[in-house]
Amino acid sequence: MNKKILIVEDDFIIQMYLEDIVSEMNCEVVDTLESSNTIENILKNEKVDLILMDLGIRGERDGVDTAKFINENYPTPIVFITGNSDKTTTQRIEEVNPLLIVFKPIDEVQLKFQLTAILKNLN
Amino acid sequence: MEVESLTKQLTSLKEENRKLTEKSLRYEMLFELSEDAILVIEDNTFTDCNHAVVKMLGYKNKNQFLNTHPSELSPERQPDGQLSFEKAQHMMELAISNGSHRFEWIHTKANGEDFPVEVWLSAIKYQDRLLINTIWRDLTEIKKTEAKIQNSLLEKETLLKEVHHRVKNNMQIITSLLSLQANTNNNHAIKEQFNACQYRINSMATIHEMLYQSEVFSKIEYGSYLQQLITHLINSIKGVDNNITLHLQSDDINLNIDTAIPLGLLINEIVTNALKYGIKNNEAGIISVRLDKVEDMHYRLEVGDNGVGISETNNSTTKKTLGLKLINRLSSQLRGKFERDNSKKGTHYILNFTELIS
Repeated sequence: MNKKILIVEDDFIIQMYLEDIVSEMNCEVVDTLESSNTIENILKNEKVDLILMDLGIRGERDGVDTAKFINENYPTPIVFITGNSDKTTTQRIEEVNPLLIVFKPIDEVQLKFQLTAILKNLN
Repeated sequence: MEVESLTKQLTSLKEENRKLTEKSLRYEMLFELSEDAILVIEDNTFTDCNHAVVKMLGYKNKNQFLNTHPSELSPERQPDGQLSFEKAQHMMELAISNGSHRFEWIHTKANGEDFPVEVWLSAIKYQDRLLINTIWRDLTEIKKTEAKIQNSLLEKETLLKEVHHRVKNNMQIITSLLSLQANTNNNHAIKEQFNACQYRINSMATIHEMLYQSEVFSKIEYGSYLQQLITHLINSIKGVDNNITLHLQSDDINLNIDTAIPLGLLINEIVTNALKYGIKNNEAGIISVRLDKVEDMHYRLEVGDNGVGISETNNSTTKKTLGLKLINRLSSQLRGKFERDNSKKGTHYILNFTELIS
């Protein structure tokens, strides 16, 4: 069965790029969000195997705050994708226990390889 | 005769006395009118001071605050958390044991306002008494300026960080667009061309990424950069389960952005060629890169592969591929000497170059 992946990313080109990567891996994109506003609705009603989460997203909550909310209410594995690689940010992200942190610029081959391994382990 | 001699003695004594009084008055004036704030400490107490101190503290006259322990003209604690009384005792002890002692201190004005001073204590033995001559310098303005400079520096650092961050993000968007476009196409040769563009952009984006992470924002540690750049190329071109070994040697070399970018692009071209044409398909191979500092500002780069060796019957400047054109342009931008090293198996190049100053 195809894995269902939710993408949270505010840049529409990166959104398309991630959607491309996910479909090339034969996974299904449940939805692509630019903010965390409607995430609760999706997690309540849909089965999501993995969330690709950008740190800087639209809306009141950033990626880390959204991840905290998900951990508490709808525990779902999260892979963080971030352009902020400074120590403070990295530490903040680590505190919400993501499966992986990917730094931009995204290494497409590496990302596919890592995601494949992660999805295999989710079984 | 005796009267005459006595008169002489008296006159000379009077003269001496007058001289002494004059000298004493002169020193009194020097002390009193000095623009430097001067105090005298005896038995851990301020016993005297000049007008500059009265003015600095904002009192009407010195009798309002003399005969106090230095901590009584200070907040309860100093910025390091120590009690002013204990710390003042310690400072005075240091001045006595070392002869003098200089430090920063927070004192309190008549109106209750705290202010920073530089204190200079000098121990003076006078007959049987031990005095400490104290000079205060008001640091209020200096501290204000320091804070302003610090703020402005912080602001510039934040801005610079933001710029690198945005440049990198924009480059990520460009490579994403190229990737999306490449994936609409089934022609392998066209896809490869898009890939080559992505590698070039990535070689620059990685530099901005590292500058954003670095503390200084002007230089990057080149060894870590090369590790990241070349590993990315190997994974992208040969796949994650490849048979390529990277031998990288670079001893703690930091290069500025003006040098890092053309050098990164140049190495990107050579390694891309090595992975595409030098080491065929899934064959095992070694990419070796070595960067050495020859002397100040001068470096030597060796880069190559142990593959089949690219034939080079033509002079490289007349070659048509964009990769080689770029290599030639970039090496002249680095004011470098680029040559092929035919002593080893495969394809190897040596570049002697200079760090560019903007």
